[in-house]
Amino acid sequence: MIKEIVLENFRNYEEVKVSFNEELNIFCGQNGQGKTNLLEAVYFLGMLSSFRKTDSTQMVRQGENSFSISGHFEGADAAALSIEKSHNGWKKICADGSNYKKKLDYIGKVRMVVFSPDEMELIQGSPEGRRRYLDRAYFNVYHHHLRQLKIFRRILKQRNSLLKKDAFRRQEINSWSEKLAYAGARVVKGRMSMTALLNEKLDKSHPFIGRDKVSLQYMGAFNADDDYEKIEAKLLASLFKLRKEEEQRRITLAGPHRDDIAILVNGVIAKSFSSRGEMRSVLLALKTAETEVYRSVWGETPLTLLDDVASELDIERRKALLSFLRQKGEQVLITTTEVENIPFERSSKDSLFMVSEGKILH
Amino acid sequence: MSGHFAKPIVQLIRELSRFPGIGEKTATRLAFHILKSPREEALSLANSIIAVKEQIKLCSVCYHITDIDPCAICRDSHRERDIICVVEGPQDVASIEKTGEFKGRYHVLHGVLSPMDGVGPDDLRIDSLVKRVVDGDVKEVIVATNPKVEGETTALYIARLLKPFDVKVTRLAQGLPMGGELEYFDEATISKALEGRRVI
Repeated sequence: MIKEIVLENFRNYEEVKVSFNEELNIFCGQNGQGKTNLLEAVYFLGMLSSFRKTDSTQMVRQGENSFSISGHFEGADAAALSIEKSHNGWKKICADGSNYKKKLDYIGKVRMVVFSPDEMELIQGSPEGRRRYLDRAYFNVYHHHLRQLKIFRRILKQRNSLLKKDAFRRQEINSWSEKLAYAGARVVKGRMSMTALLNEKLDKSHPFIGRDKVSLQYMGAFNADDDYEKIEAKLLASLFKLRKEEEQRRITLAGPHRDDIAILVNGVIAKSFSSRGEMRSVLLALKTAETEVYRSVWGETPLTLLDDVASELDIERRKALLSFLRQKGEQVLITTTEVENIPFERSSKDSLFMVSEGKILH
Repeated sequence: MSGHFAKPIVQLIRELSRFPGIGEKTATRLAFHILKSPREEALSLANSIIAVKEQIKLCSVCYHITDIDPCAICRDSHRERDIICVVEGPQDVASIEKTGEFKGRYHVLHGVLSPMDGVGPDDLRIDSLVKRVVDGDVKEVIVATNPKVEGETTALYIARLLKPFDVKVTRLAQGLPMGGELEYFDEATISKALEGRRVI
């Protein structure tokens, strides 16, 4: 749970401090006042990256050199997080008084689930977005996944560099292939594990999704019960088969960097969806399943960030979603343009904040 | 800042600031230290630099840096001939020698495979390693390259290359450093240590 956050020179905030309530925290204001910036700051403090597609070079408030974010948490892996970043790069990454040199060692101390309009990409966009989603989600279950991914990417980069050369020894490319298959198998297995975890939760349908059954399918030549060795052998076999083509196109053609994850609704790929509201529901189902995976794996409820869901979810689905979250006792940070859009009853555990021109009023 | 000084000083500062980890400030301090030091000391420094360039060569057997060829380790008749430890650079020889645990000989690759930096097998002393294995009665090759992506791949490359020959290829164990605490290690370190566990 996040107790408090302090921002300095972050986007349109000069200096602001927010104390959060236990359950529902509603941030209400017109567009461009800084509602999403606040959610972004919370996410950024935990993950050192943004969930938005906007330019991250503009995070420093105009005319300033650096921004800082610090926050206090309860029930997370760290009680106090504090970061500072300038135009030139990181100045401070600090958790509970210890400074971190490697971002990988710091991120993920606070588990969060984000729902923002940008995430529609997940359904409509390229496979890359879906891979990133699954990798992020699995990272929250098993931090080591991101390290595996980093190793895999390094090997891939090296192997692609080698394929760009006019000549190389057979044994040299073979060695990189073996390494790629070994590291790739760990990435694939991780993603398949996350797919299975999500599907298990997606099986129990939620009231705001309706009767549609949402499921995920990891697209690749793998079976759910394949172990590392099996996946590794399959990857190596694909690389071997594609050797000629790889040498012509000078790029690695098999591996987890080319896999896709199909989002199915009642067994049909969700790409071909017509209604935007329907797609939002699918996304909500995924995000809720994600939340429940974390709850069952960690025994801890992640922080939910809902950016502007009201604009596209109808009132019934909104009601159902909020009562679902409330019944789980989750802490939710939600933004909206109209407070009437959020069906909530004022209680001692909820707070309403008005956001206007980089100021937050309680 | 160096514009205020006489030419020879400016030249010295410029040379010194080319060293790794040395900025203009430190270079200026070092230059003034040299300027103030006795003539003999400065000459000795200059001569050492020249000596290093003129007298140091690579051992024709193991490619370690040496002033006499073959190097002291390769000349030492007490060292075991049938075991070779492969390392990335000369500094790694020094690290392993400091332990006093290893009684065999070395083979210095002078790098690791890294296509993105343009380093391939022909840029490393790998063919000569194979030749040593084929020609001599080597029983074991320990590959002690760093446990990074490039070091691991180089180790694998060497292992595959030596496969047809009657030689055992081993890799240094990876695991927990001495004096550490389990809770502060990352998952990669711990899972490697689990993989390499042994009976006590």
